[in-house]
Amino acid sequence: MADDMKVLSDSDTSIVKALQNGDEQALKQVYKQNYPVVVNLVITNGGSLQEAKDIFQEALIIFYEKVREDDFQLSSRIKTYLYSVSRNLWLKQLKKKRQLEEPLKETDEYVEPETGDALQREAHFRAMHQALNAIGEPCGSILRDFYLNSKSMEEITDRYGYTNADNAKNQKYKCLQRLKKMFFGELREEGDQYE
Amino acid sequence: MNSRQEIEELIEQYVTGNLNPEEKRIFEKWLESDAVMAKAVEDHQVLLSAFDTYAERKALRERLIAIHDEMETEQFRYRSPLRKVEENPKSAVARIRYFWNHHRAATVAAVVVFTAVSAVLIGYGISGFTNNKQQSAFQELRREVEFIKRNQRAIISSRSSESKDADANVSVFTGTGFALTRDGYVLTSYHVVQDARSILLTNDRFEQLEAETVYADKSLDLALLKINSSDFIGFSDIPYNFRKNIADPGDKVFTLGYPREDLVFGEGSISSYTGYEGDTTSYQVSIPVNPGNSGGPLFDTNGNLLGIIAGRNAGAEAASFAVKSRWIARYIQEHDSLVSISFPSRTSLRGVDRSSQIKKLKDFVFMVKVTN
Repeated sequence: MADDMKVLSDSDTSIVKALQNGDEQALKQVYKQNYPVVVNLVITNGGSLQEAKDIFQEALIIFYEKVREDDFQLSSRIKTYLYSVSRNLWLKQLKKKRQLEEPLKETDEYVEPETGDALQREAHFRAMHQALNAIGEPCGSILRDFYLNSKSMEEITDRYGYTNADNAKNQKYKCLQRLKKMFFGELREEGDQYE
Repeated sequence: MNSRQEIEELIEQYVTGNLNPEEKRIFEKWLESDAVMAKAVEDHQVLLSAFDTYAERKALRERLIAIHDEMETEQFRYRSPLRKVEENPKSAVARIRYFWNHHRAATVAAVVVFTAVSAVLIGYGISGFTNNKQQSAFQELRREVEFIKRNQRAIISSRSSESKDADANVSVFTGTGFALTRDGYVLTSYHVVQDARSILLTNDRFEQLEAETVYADKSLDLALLKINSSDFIGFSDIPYNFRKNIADPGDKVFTLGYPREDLVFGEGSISSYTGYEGDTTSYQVSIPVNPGNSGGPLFDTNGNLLGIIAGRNAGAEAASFAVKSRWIARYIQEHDSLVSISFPSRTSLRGVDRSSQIKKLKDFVFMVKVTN
């Protein structure tokens, strides 16, 4: 029994190393090995496969980001970590949807996971995603081009047919103001729901 | 430009490190004495870092989605209800697929019961195909197919453990495809030629043309084939043109396809601007289509190419989906170094009656036979 544990943690350690080196195969392996655990959790607790997939991918992103931090230390098995993060995410979602009628059924071992600022990053991601999708055109494209695709104002002027760079700048400014409003609005809303 | 905008631009320059040392010093002095300004700077930093987070996470998400898709492809290689399965007496897989294609309704009922009783048992085995729009369409349908697939899978693995007869699982699928260029480029659906070991095109005019996949796009469900038979010398002029504007609900449309050995004509109208779940890359069309119709061209009454049949909603009568021609055009444009499209500017199909149109079209529509 003790030997089994050792073997498992050794393989976990080598997977973590591979992930730190950006090994895509390792990521695939973690995905395939742990996805069923989270499907089981979410389905058992009233969710759908699509929801299970979303929760699992979110948990895996959190894990992956943590693994790639400089001072990362593996404090539990990967499986336990992913289960525990997923479990918390799903619990949160059930509360948000007010669907939590009975206590969550644990389907695996739970250990309070250390997530650092990952949840805040997730909130930022969601708020940005919502805001960029809701803002409409041409704002969505202009902001994506400038802030995500590193296009210059000159390129944007050309691409969107503005007569001069100042017009493009004005437009970008207006778009960014709107985005800001929406982004912080979303962020507040998310925060409120979780309090 | 107003002063508010100037201030915002200054903030952005400061946050992105684009102020010179002197400007920076003055700006920071200002921040010390102005709390509103300091808050604005902080917000701007949060926003810009959220852009970075968004970009990173989005890229990571895309990687995970790709891994997920790959995992599902490995598990269930047979996904499309519109890719017709020819019965292969040696293959239990093919028999189940045959059953599936012919007893869909009964299976739906069985699966509804199955899923209701034991959603938990579904677990891992039948994870969803979230990116497969023509089929994942409806959850019920998705489940049905997956349920069957699970059995298929069980059978595949039990067979392979008892016998190593590799041919036992060789299957032939058929779909439809149509010519895009005189020199032998043909378009079909990605899911028709997915995992193909060999591809043959046939119709009344051309007995058998070998083809290979040049480029496949899973998300649009499109695959570009090139005929590579040595005796193929080219088609005559392609009679149809791309329709560039969007068709409207109510517009009459028709398709030609190979749900069986002979060419079958089907007609109906555009039912919706969008396909499954509001998918804006497709139309919903009221043509009854069957396994084998996938990859068939969708024409308007003047013989302009409107789209390509991609799938149907198994839960409803005559609710089919077709990828819009503008997406096909975009797809081809992305590979235009490869393909020079030579559609006529005026189609010879305008104002001609339907049967004459079909006579002109039928040589350009093929049965796509795939072995995998």
